[in-house]
Amino acid sequence: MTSNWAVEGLSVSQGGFSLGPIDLTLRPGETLAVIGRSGSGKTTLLRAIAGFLPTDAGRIRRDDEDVGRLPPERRRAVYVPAGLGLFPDRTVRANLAFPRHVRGDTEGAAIRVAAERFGISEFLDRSPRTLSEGQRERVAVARATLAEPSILLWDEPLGALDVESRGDLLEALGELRRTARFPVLLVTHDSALGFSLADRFLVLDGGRATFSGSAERLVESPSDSFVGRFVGYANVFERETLEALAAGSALSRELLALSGSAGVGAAPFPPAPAGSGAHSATIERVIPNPDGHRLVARSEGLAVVLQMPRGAQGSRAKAGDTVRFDVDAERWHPLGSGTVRS
Amino acid sequence: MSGATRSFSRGRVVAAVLGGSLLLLFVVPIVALLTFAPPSQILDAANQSGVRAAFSFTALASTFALAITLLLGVPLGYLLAGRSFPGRSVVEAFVTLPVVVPHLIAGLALFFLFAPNAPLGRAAIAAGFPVLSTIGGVVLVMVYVSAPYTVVASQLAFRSVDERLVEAARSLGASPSATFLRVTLPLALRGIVAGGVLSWARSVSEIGGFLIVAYVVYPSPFYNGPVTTPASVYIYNLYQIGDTTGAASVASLFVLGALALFVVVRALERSGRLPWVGRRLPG
Repeated sequence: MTSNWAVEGLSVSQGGFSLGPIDLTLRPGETLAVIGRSGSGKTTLLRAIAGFLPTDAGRIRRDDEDVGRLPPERRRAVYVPAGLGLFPDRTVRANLAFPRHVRGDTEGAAIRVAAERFGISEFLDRSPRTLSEGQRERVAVARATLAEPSILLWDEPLGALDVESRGDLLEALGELRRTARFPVLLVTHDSALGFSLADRFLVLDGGRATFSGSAERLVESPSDSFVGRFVGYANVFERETLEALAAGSALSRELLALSGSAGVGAAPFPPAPAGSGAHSATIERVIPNPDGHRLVARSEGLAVVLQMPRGAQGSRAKAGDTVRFDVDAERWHPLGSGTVRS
Repeated sequence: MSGATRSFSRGRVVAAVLGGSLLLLFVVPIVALLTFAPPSQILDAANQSGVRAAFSFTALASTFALAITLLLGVPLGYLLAGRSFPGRSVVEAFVTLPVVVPHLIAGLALFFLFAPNAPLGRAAIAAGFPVLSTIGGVVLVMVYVSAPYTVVASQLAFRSVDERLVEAARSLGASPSATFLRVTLPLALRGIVAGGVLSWARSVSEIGGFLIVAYVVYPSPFYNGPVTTPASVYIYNLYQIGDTTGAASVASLFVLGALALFVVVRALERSGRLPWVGRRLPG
């Protein structure tokens, strides 16, 4: 069964924290990633949609039905909490059977098919405690699909995975995304995961939605420094920081001129050719990477990140050396001024 | 050996010396007791009808007390583990009251409540369930002194269940009652059983309250055996009349029985054969 989900003017208060009003729509098969700083309300949003938090205002609709008044077990909104929520005292098989058993279905064929699909057949009789994090994540995905969700709410997939397991699970999630007929709402701090799986992004800041739109729009106009870092800007300077330094720093004044309402950001950029460059910086750290070396350098109180291409002249730079650079307006992007709301 | 390892080992030695001293305090008096009476006399004691009656009665009363303690104590532990409610700290103080009040005083309080001339005592007699000097009185004392262990253990056990597991279960389609029975209770059961075992142990080792409420036990509803006393009172009586060897023999039987039971329960718990406790994986 496929359903459209919509959240309209949703507000939630929890302790001293307020979330909302939040508006979003999700079509079958669509994935929306919710991103934001810690404490911005991402998990609160998921738990409210799942039915674990009372709402102050707004509606949660599944097609034309207002499910906001239904108990969690009748919403068909399957919530995978951070930590996955696998039952530690049950085998993998019993974990998979749980959503079927609570509905009175004791037939095992669907479990075998799901186990096969997510590559966990050989672990069926083991405790989830004995599995690796990647295997546990696969069990959680399989169990969620066996509940036949109308929407999947996933808090922090890839929580504590090593590089190899991440790739493995991303593949499994990708497979889920390609075949699933239900929408997925996932909370993540992981930009690789977000950009791999999500069709759209919702950015929360202090309980309010500051951006809702496509990945392209998110990258084009990051709404704040958090989003700037999320989309891959290693150089992110907040407007207040630049304003505080502007009186004594030509670099800060130059960056301020390029800033949006929240600040300015840029991906790591190459140093100026030898003998040129308007600004100088002292290298603090040299970090090797596949493209050469990343240089973390300090200039007029600001830490800038440069990329020294492999084999470039001066590529053997070391901490304490001086490097020169220009502020190229093409490379720097305003943060905040281009906020998109949909 | 690294410095860190060395200091860790030294720490373990200090802990072993200090902890071992306490262990000696536990073990040496029991060894003294078990070696006071010759084994033949301990075996003789086991065959005496008075001893058998006292032990059987104590086993029966403690079983009733455990059932009531679990029936009433686990729900209270569950409530105390959940969301805060007005007066929770007062309730928690009352739960621990029986632990701090001397049990002789608890016995006195129950005596005043159920004395034949007290309203509740009159009502109990009229209903055919007299409390004083009956199994009812013994069970009442046992529940009073032992239930706090089950309530507190249940509270801690329920509190230790990860709320995210409960939410996962609900969102997978389980109703609140199904979630409680299939997720919360199985995960908390180990702690609840540990509390129940402690409560049972506290029940059978009680004496202060019995001295006031049920020094002698007469047949009544739920007990139609001979006139007897709880096992602890039986041992006390032997000591009071100067039969120290007899007291040591019956006390040794008591200690050996209790030890055997604890060893069996712990072994079952570890092997996961106690229903729903330990490594309950299949299903």
